Amino acid sequence: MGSPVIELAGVGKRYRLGEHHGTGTDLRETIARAAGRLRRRERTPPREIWSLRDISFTVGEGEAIGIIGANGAGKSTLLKVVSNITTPTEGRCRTRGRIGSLLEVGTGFHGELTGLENTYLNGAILGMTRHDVRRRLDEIIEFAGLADFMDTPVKRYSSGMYLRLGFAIAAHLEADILVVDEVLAVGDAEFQRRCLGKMSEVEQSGRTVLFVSHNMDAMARLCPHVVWLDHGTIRARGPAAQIIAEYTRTSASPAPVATFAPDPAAPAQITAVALVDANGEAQSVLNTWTQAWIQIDVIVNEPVPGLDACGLVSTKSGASLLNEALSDTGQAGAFPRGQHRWRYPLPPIFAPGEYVIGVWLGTAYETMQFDDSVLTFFIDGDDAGRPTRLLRFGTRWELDRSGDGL
Amino acid sequence: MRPVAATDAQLWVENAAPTGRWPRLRFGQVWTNRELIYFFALRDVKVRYKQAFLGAAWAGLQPLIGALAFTILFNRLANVTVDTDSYFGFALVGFIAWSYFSSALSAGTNSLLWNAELLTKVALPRIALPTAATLPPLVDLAVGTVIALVITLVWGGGTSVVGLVVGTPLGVLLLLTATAGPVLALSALIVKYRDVSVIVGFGLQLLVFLSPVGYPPELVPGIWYTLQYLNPIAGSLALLRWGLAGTPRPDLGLVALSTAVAMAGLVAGGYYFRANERQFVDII
Repeated sequence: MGSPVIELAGVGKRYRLGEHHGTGTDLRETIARAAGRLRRRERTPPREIWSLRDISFTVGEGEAIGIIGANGAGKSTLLKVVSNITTPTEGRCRTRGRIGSLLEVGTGFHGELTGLENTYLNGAILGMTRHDVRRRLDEIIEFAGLADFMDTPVKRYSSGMYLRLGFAIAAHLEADILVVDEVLAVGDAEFQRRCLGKMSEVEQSGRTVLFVSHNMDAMARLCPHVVWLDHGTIRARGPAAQIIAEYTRTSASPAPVATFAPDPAAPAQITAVALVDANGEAQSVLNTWTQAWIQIDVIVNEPVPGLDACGLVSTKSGASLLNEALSDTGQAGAFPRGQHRWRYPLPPIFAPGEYVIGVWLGTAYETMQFDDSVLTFFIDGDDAGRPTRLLRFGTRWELDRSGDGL
Repeated sequence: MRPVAATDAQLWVENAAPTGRWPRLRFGQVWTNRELIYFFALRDVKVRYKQAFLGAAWAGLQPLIGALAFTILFNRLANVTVDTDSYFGFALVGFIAWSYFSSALSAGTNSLLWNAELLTKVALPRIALPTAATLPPLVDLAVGTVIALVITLVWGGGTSVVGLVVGTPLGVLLLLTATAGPVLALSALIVKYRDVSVIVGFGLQLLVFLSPVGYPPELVPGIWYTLQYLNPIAGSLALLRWGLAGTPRPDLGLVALSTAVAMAGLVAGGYYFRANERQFVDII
């Protein structure tokens, strides 16, 4: 770690809740409150919320730190304090070097102005001199891929073009510290890939990066260290892989376990379905590398010869990807009375996206129970620019130098 | 706020909780951020004339019509006379100066509000926004100044060289100072109280008749004649008319009174702005 460039010491930020933030944006309200005070009436204390509390950490030169946490954990507030946009209520934050903060792409664009005019304006807003912008103009235009549209008012731009120009300008800001908030959540896959590429370039060039994202895949690749914020305080800090794993495990909403009303008349019945991890805990969000199981609880009231079950995985639009039966592997049979728990190990082959789990119970002759959308689950991560891809295996290519081996 | 040059890279910039100490004015920030201010001003000028059929012609047309209205109202109907040959030229100077004050004050007051999104997403020196908002109306003031000068030289009785060279720039400077103070205070105030925009609109309507814009200051009798120079617009108009409308040199004591009030306003507005700017983002 290089010498420190960001130092936070006991930083806290309090917001007042309520329609007018408690400060009274309405003159009438303020006068009424002052009058109330004169008559020595009890003042109702404004409701407050600490968006950040007692945050202390140091970032060294050239480090890339990721900030993770649920919505409302204080991530954006933290970035705003570091970027000097908002003032902490207590404590202090010190930074050394020029900060480029990318809290939103294209902020300050004016629709009536052309792409070129907006480039100079936006550059100035981000802290670039006219000279800086002119020197890097060709690179910016090239990166944005908008050479033919620089004289067009940006109100005629598509949202994609708008984002590209905004990011291109920001990416060419020569900042010592880059603060990035969820910019990558917008734009198409191609755009996201370019953004990530540019960011790792920035990181490799030895500059300091503070990065907030919900994209754990990108986070794990860009940031060796991660700070986990929880309700405004630091819950954990450490190596990215470890903290992210812990975060995804605890933060995923209590994953639903689908249950079925018991039917004593049925000879056999599925009573519950869940997607579980190695600890047997139900999950609905998985990383691309997590091993998971489709878990089916079956109650057998009366042994059925050749009892068989299927676990299904399909896309949201209904394309069937997996349909694996006990009988496929010769495991169907007459199970004894009682509770059974069957688990099918889901291979870690799914590309990021949303998938649907279905189940089937029956024999070769009859269907006793069938529901093709019992649960949904998400594979979290970066689609690596291939958004339509459903599966990914990651098996290695076999490379042969000149075709000699053929 | 933020470092502006790469050479500042070694300096620590601190963002700490308020200490309750008296803020510093730091007007120098306006100069160090002049490029940003220029681009904000340029944006407003460009946006204003894009897709406008008459474009820049408006800058010349408006004061001519306005001055004509003043001349008919005060000179022809109320028989008010002035110390120079052309009432029209006299009224024209009043109109262009007032137009500057009123447009700059309205734009400046709303500047933080109109750029609220920017304010909450980028760490820019906040004083740049109200400052930049007072610049675009200078274009109209410049056009108006040329027109007024031509009218005075061609149809009026001409003007003194000293007045033109000394009075005009000093008058403009006083006008800018007189505008800047209220702009800083009101732009900060409107962040908290939206009522300000109503008050400013109404206040401007009243003030145009309380300032010697369409009539000469001599119309005001007794002690009120002197007191009207507490309004810095009056001092600025006296200087500008000396240069552009050919009126005699104004009383320096009265101009000094106006200047003192304008400077006091600038300092007070500056302090109010600095004392409140740190909470803009949280309440806007």
